[in-house]
Amino acid sequence: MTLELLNYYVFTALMLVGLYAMMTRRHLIRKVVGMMIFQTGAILFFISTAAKVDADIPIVRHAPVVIAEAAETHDDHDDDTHGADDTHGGDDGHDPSGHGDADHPRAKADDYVNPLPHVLMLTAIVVGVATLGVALGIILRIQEHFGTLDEDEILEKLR
Amino acid sequence: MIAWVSHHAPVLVVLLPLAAALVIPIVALRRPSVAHLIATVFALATAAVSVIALITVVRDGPIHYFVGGWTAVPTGPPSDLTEVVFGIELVIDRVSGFFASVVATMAASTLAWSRLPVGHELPGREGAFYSVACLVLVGLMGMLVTADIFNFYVFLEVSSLSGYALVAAKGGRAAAAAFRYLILGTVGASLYLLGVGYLYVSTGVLNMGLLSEVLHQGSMSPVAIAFIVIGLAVKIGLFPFHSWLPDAYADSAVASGGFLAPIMTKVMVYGLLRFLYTILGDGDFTDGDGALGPAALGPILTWAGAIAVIAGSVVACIRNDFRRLLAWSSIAQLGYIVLGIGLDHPLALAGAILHVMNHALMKGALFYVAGAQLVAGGGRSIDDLRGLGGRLPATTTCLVIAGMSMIGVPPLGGFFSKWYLLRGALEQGRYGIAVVLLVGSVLAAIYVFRIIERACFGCRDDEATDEPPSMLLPLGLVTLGVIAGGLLSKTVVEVVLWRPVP
Repeated sequence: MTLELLNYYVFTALMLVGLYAMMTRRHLIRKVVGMMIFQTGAILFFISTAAKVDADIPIVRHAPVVIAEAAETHDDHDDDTHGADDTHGGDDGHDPSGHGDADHPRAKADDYVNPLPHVLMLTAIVVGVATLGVALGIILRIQEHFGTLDEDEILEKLR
Repeated sequence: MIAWVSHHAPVLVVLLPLAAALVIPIVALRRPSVAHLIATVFALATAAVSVIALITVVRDGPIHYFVGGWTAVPTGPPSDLTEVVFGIELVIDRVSGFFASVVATMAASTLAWSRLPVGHELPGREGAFYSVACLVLVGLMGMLVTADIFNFYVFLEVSSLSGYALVAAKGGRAAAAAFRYLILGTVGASLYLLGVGYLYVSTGVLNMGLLSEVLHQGSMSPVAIAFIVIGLAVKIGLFPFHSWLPDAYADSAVASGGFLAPIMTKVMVYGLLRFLYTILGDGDFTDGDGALGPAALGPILTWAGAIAVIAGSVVACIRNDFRRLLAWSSIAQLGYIVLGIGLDHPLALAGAILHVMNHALMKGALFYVAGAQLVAGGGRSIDDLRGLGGRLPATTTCLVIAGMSMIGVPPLGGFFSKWYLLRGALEQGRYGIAVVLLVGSVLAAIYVFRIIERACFGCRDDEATDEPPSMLLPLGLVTLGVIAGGLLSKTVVEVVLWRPVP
């Protein structure tokens, strides 16, 4: 088991734990907890894909970014590492578009963590919170009507 | 004006219902009765914009819209590394325009119809109901117009979350059904999200068009495809992931079931269609030679659909609760649609898309009848329909027409979609599937006649009661739609969907 893949093992485990909880637990709150774990697994997966060794937070301090990686992907979707360094590493400071200057070399997308998965997951987390809210609201209604949150007892009363 | 509307149509169809959803809670605090009016008007406006957009698309080609002016598709040469292409693109093309028109029209008609049923079942909560219903419409329209697979997920969750709330609105059994729906729906949506993650990691893009280009240059991750297809199948309610559907549609308030049943699962079908044909297929499935992306998926979908047709119809035949019968029939009809998608033949695909419209219309009409029965004080069981022909004669007429269309009696809509499916199956040499289609129609005849027999030939001495025009008018219009869907089916397929059909 290689350590770089640790995150991916964890996310698989989280999703399986969540699925197991949703299928086997009889108490509705526990099912909701399982559902949240399941969603968290998916979020961890996205975040893990953005991680990069020795990369900085994606805030450009000095100069516009060369989105070499994004352009690379359109060409050959070999998603990682090579590319930006080969084409632009050599002549920092000679910025044809005139944005950077000699003291502040143009930033390279390679040096930064990919921000897009984080942005996507911000949305997904909001969705998760909303789901939790709706789920708890529904659970309240169930508790009011059935007086229990045990699935077996509810199924019994539904008959 | 028209040009402005059609140019901004992709974003208008989302913003209009959103505006209604925001305005209603404020206004309804003081005057709950206005909620119905606002929701209906905004839904009608959405439908009008969708139809205008569809006409524009048929005439001038797809409408592309970049939200906030951020481009989503590279316009310059690939060497231009400074171009930012992270925007979200909205597109209305022939297929999404068609779906949007059907969905928005059905939503508007159901909202217009629902004043009495909502007042009957959810008294005092009109504001909440109509606001949430408009949010469902926001999500559905968003899913139809977006060209970004993550944005699709967001709209999917918008529509699903409000859908759960709409189902739960009645409390009691409905809340239990909504909880089941929520758990399964969230699993489905999370699987879809995971599939999106896999695709993003292997391609680096989220725009559907770009994704299709990049995927065709390399290999497609079967895991991603499996996640997305299973996730959408759960939301469609495709056999064997259908267990949430009957309770959600039958135990909820009749207005909730009537609002969701005709449109919700159809938009999920659209997602599957988009994914299989636009992203994984040849990118343009309106040219009449639709090519299913991974060929191996075809038989799986076809057989899953075939099993759904048979199983759904058989269960519908033994259900005694009217709305539960309709819900199981929905599972069967969705089986037809998915079967058509899986057959991978232009005729079958035309049949599937046509069936989306026809099923939305006839299932809407049948739910309206269930609502009319409820408001008139009748029970839920199909035995309570006895004498309906005497009590509500006009409603019963519509019930018979919609039911006949469900069976597939020419010249009603249901006949033509099944006819296209059958021809597609025969052209592909899939005789087993053709038999399934015919058996499905026979089973549909059984369960529809169980209803019609009671409604028309029960005790006939009942007095005709008042049929409220606010419910009868939408029912009548939708029933006319069922008839028109049959008479105009050739036009719909040839003019709206593809150019030539053999």
